[in-house]
Amino acid sequence: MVQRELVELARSGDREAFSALAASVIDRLYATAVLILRDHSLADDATQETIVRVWRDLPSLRDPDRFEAWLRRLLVNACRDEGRRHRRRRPEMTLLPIHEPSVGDSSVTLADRDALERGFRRLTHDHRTAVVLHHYLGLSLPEVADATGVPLGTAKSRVHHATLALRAALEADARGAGMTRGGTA
Amino acid sequence: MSRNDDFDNTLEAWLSSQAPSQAPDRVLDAALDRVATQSRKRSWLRRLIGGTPMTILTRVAAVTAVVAVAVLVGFQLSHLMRNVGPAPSPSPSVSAQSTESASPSSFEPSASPRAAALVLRLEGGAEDGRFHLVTVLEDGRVITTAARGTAGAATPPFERRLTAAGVQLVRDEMNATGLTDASATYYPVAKPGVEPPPYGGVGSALEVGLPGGVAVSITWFYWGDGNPYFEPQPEALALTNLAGRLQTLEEWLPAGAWADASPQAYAPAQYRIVISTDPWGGSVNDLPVESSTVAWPLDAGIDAFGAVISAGSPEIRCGLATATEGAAVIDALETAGATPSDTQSYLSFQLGLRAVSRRITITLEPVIPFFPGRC
Repeated sequence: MVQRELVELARSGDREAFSALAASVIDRLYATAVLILRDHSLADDATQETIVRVWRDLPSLRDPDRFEAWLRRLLVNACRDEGRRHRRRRPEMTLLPIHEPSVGDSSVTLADRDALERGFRRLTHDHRTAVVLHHYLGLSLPEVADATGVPLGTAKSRVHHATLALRAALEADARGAGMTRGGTA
Repeated sequence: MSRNDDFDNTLEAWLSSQAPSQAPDRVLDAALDRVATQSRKRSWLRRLIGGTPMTILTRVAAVTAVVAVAVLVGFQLSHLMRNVGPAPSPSPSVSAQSTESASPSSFEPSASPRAAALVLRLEGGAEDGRFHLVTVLEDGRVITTAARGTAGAATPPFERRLTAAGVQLVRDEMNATGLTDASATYYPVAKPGVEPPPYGGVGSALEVGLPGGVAVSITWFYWGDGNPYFEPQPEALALTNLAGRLQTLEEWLPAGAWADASPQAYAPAQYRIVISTDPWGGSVNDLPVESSTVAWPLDAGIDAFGAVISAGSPEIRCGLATATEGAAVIDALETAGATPSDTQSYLSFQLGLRAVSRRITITLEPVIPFFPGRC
């Protein structure tokens, strides 16, 4: 059954269709939440909350073809809420590679990974969200603006500055590595 | 390949490597457990405008009819209450399309004697409903809550008192817009040929107390003039600017408008205590402070306080407590080591129930006059 049909059935109250719909999107939601929140436990909660809000608010979705965009917005909001709720309790969020080891990214060196990790952690929540939506989910900038509920200019600015910061982190690391290697990098 | 492309590829590869390919089963299971016990609670207005396919015209007509009935009932009520003064001139302007998410059900004109003390109540809109921003009462009290999402630690509501002249200056500021003497809702108007994205939540709202003890409500949506989907809407812009002014009274009112020297922490007469219990998806070792370690000071225990307002998972209970009782609850929770979160201006604590792998969230909301609560 295609997603549109599942959305329509779930919207009308079909719980079985809703379960199938949730199962079809949960992996993507969870992966996105993990990247934005950098914490598996927070991502658990944000993903659960998104699914519950989908169920609760699905009757208000007028156009089933808009489901994906609507879903993204709910997820971004749930991640934002979860991040705020736990900011004080968990000042140091950690991402443990519990489920997936870092494989299959031979194009990224270990040093790059470390540099990106450090740079990514230093980004604000909003900047991380913009980067994940644009560079991981592959959303266009207007779609990023729509998902985050900000004007297009703000979305562009967030992606631009976050990317600059990550690039700077990578280049600083490369310079450091070059110096330790006698400037050969 | 350019340097930019190289960097983008590196970043995208790294992000992909960091993203789990599969969600743990417990996430979907826990979410569906919660959904299984959750009914779709839809407001009377949302049932009317959002449930079945209707044309825009039908929706507008439905909303207009409902608001008109509400206003008529309000007028009759105000008449029955023998309130003297001019009747409101409610001409709800439901401009353009109504949307799936426009649900001003919790923001009806309060045409009752209680409105006699209200000058204004301003609420912000969010995905999950409205939140309090500012209330001004005729006795001069100004109760302000930090906007949701304000950076920094939790900020409790604070209170100042205006002189009668100060209250009049606030009224003048509202009247100057020409938009606050009648109830109205300003929905976004899509640009021609543009299919706007769905939007959730409710708009901002302003309730204004008029002479004679009646009140009008104005709701609107505003996402900036540069929004690519919706027409610029002067009314929404003017109301947004007014809302900004009402949240920053201290910046523009003269010092003589204030009856006191500085803001004080708002001292509520009551707290609304909301207790939510939901399944914990992670390890019990990660649960917060165990609830049994809290020396709960109220007669009804944590698991029995208040009335159930949502059964199932999460179960939510809600009850009112006096200021003294609320302070005792906060003290007991902090003594046990529970840390308040800074989600909103409410104090919210989390506890654990390790034996049954559940998490309890206890939220203390200061009761603000005229602001509706869950119990």
